[in-house]
Amino acid sequence: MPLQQLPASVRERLLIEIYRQANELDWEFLSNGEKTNQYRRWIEDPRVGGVLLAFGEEKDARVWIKDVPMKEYARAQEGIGHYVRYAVNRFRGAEEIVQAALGDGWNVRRNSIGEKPNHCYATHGGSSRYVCWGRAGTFRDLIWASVSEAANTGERPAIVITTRDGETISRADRHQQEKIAAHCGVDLKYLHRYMIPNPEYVGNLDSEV
Amino acid sequence: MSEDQFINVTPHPRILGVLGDIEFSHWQCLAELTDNCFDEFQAAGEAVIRPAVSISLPAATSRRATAEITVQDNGRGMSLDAVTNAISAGWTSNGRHGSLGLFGMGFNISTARLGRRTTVRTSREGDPHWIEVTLDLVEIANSSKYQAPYRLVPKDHPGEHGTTVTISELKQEQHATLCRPQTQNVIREKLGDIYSYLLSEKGFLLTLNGKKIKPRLPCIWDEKRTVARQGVEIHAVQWIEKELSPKKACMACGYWSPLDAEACEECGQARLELRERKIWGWIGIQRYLHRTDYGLDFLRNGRKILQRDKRVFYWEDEDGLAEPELEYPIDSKTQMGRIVGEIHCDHVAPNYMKTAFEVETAEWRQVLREVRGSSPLRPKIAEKRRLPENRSPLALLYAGFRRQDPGLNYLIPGDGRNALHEKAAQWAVRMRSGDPEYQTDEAWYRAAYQHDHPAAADPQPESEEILPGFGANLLEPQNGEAADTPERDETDRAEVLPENLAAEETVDQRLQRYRAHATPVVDLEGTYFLEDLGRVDLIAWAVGGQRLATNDGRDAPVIVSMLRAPRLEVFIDTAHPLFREFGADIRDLALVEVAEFMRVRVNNVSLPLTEIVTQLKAQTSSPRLTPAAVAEESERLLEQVRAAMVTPVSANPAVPWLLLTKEERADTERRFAVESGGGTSWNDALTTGEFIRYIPATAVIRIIQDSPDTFLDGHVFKRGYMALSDPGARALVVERLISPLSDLALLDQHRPRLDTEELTRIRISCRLIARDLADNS
Repeated sequence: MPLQQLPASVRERLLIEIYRQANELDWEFLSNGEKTNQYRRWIEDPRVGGVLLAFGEEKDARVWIKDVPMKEYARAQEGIGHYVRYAVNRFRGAEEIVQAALGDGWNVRRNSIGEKPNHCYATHGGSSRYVCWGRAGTFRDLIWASVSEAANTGERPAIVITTRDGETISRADRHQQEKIAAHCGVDLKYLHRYMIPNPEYVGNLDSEV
Repeated sequence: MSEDQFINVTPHPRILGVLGDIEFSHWQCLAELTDNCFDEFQAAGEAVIRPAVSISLPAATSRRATAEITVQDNGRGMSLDAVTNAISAGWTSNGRHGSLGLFGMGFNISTARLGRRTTVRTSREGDPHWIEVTLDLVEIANSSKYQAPYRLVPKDHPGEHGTTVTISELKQEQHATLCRPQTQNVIREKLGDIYSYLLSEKGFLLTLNGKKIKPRLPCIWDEKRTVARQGVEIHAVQWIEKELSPKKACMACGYWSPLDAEACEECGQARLELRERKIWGWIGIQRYLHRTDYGLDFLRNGRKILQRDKRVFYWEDEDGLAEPELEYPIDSKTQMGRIVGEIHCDHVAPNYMKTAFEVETAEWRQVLREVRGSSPLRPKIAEKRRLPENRSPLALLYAGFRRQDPGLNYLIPGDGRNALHEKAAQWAVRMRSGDPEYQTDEAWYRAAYQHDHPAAADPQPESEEILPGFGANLLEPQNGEAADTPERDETDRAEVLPENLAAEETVDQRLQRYRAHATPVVDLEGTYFLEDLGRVDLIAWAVGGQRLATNDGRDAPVIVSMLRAPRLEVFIDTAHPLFREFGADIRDLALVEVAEFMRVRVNNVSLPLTEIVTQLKAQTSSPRLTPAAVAEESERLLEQVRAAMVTPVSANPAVPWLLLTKEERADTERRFAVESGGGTSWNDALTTGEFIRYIPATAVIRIIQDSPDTFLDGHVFKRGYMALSDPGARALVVERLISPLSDLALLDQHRPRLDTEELTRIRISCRLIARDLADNS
C-alpha cells in the first residue's frame, strides 16, 4: 500500500492532527455512526485527507486512518505502544493499575507490559502476579486472559476494571462481575481514573499542520 | 380568654412519596440531578479540570428489580457536614436562590418520581471514605421519622472524588419507559438543548450511557453579515450586556431588596445575600425560517429555562389594558420566524419546575425591556401612539430582518425566483449533524447572493471581446493538441488557460478550474433518490467563460463528474449556443445529464431517459407550471409590490384612494377586515396609506399609471422615469412595466383556463417584475 511510504515528517504531522481532533471530539464517547462520519470528514479535511490523498487512493487513506492512528488511539491513551507521544491527554500508566490491583509495595516488572488485553506482571520481593485491565465492556476478554494465565502458572491473577469521567458501571453489572471473578479465582478491582496532560506529548503549535 | 393552643400539623412522612406525583417529565427529572452537578462545577471554577457528568439509564434488557439510574459527577465532592446540609436543605429550606451545590426541592421531586430509594455517595480528594446516604421513602414513611441513614465506605483510592446519585427500586412505569431507546433519544436531545451553553462554551462533558450528549447549537448568520436600512448597517447578531446594580437577595422569598436593606422588604426576614446582577447574551438571525423553531432562549446559571420563547415579539402597553399585539412575524402569511437569541439572567427566579420565570417581577420585566424596549417594534405604530422610537437590540434586528424576501437585502437564500426556505432548513440539519461544509453561513450566503445574481444563460455579448488579450489561442485541455479551429464562432467564449498548464492539467485541476469560474446553482443542489437508480448528492455549477469538456476531451454544454459517491457535480456552460442562441433551459439540460449518468451507472439504459428526468424534476424545488403554482407566485409578487407602495403613498394617501371605484373600495375594506392583524384600525389604514396592501390588482395598475413618478425611479420599481424628457419615451417605460403587471393582475382576480404557453408568459412576467422591484427597505 503506497500509504505506508509516507515520509516520516508527513506521518508525524498527520498523527498529531488526527489525535488532536480526536481529543477535541471526545472520541471515546462517540457513537459508531458518529465515528463513521468522522472518518469521512477526515478524508475531506484538507489537513488530513488533503495530505494523504497525495500519497495514495482514497480507500487506502481511509484504511490508514482507521487501522493505524485510530486503532492505536485507546492504547496511546493508556501509555502503551508507539503512538503515546501523539496523545494530548492520557492515563498515568500501568503503575497506577498495579497499585489499584494489589496495593502498595507492588511494581510493574520491566518490559512486561503487553496488550490484547492490556496487561503486565507485577512484582513484590520475589513474587510475581499477572494483572490485566480494561473497560467493563472487555470483561469477557479479561476473564479469559486471567484464567488462561492461572491455568499455566498457578498464580492468582488480578483484573482491574477501569472507568473514566463520563463512564459508570451499574451496581448490578458490578455484582455480576464480582461473582464471576470469585468463581474463577481471580481478584477483581475497580478503578476510576482521571486523565492527565500527556508528559510525552510532541504536538505543539509549531508542529501543527 | 384561654392561652393559645396548637394543632399538630407535622405531616405524615407518607407525604414524601406523594412528591413523586408531581408532573415532571423524564428529562426534567434527570436535568434536576444534572443541575446540581453543573452548579458545583460552576462554583468550583478551575478546580475541576474537565467537568464531566455521566448519566446511566437502564438498558432495554434490564430487570426492574436490579435496574437503577445513576448521575455521577467528577466535582470536588462533599464533606459530611456539606452533604448533611445539602440533603437536609432540600427538605427543610425554602431557599429561592438555591445556594450552589445544595439539593433543592427539585431533587426530592425528581428522585421520588423515578424510584423509591435514592443513594447519594460523595467524597473529596484525599478523604479516606465515601459517605453514602440512603433516602428510602418507604422506610422513612414506615418509621414515621424524617431520618436518612448514612455510612462510611472505605475508598480504594484516596484520589477519587465526586458525587454519585443512584436511584433504585424504580417505579414500574418509569422503568418501562426509561429503558426504551426512543425515550433515551428524546432525553439526549432535550438535555443537549437546555445545556447547550454549558456544553459548548464551558466545555462540560455530559454523557448518557457512555455516549456524549451533543449541544444543540444555534444556526445563525455570522455577526459580520449586515443589511442596510436608511443608511444604517445592521449586523445579524446584536450583543446585549447590561450590568445591574448589586442588590440583596432574600434567601427566603426571593425578593430583591436595595443595598441598604437590613431585612427583606417583602417578607421581613433577615436572610439577605449581596449578589451581582447582569443581563447578557445575544440576539441574532437564524439561517432558516420556521413556524415554531425560533424565539429567544432565557437562561439561568447556564440552563435554558425558556426555550424559543416568543413573548418578546408581542407588544403590551404599560398599563396592560389592551391584549398584547403580535409584532413578529407579521409580514408573511406563513407566520414563520427567524429571530433567535440566548439571554442570560441568573438573577431572575424561575418557578420550581424551571419551566418559566416569575413573570410578575420587576426583574423579569427589566430583562424584557433590555431586549425589546418598551415601545412597539413597528416604528409607525409607535409614532402613531406617540411613544418614543424603539432603539432596543430587538427593534434593530426587526428593522433589518423582519421581512423574508429572498436575496441579500434580507439575507434569505433564493434561486432567482423564489426563496429557498426548505433548503435552508435542510442545511441547518446538516450543520447540526456536524457537516463541516455547513458550519459557517457560507452556503446560505451563496444562495442569497445567487438569488440576486441568478444562474442563467449568458446574454449575447455586445462586443465579441469579453476578455481582451485571451481568446484565439485555445488548447484542448486533455490531449494538448491545438484546438484553435472551433467549428462555430466561439471567439467570445475565451478560456483563461496558459498553454503549458493546459497540457498537464489533470481531471481534478480541470474541474477545479470550472469551479473557480462558476457560481453554484443552489436550487438544483440536494439529494435525489430514485428507487431503481439509487442516490446522488447533486452539486450544480453555472460556469462562465470556460468551455467544458468531458473526460475524454469532447466539448459539451453540460458535463457531469462524480469524484466521490454519492456526490455528483454537474457543470453547465451558460454561454454555450444551446442556451444562449437556442434558449434551452439550463436546469432541464443539467438534469438530462444527471439522468443519463444515473442510468449508465446501474447499467440499465432501457429505462427511458425522459422518464428519469421527470422523476428528478419532481424532486427539485423548481416550481411547477400549473395555474395554481403560477397564481401563487404572482400573488406573492403583487403583495410585495403593494407593500412597497405603502411608503410612497403615505405622503398623500387620499390621491390613490380617490382613484378606486366604489366596488374596489368595498373590496379593499373587506380584505382588510379579513387579513389585517387587528393592530390597526381601518381609519388608521386610510390615513397612513396601509390600505394599499389590500387593494385589488386592477387598482394597483391604475394607481401606478396615474402617477408613475411616485413609484418608478427606485421608489417601488428600479426603472428610471423622471430623467426621460420625451413624453413618448416616458409612456414606453410605463408600458413595459404595466404589461407584465397586467399578467399578474389577471391571475390575481380570475382563474382563467390557461395553456402552457400562456402560463409560461405569466411566469416570465413574474420574473420581469421581480427583477424590476427596487430595494423596498
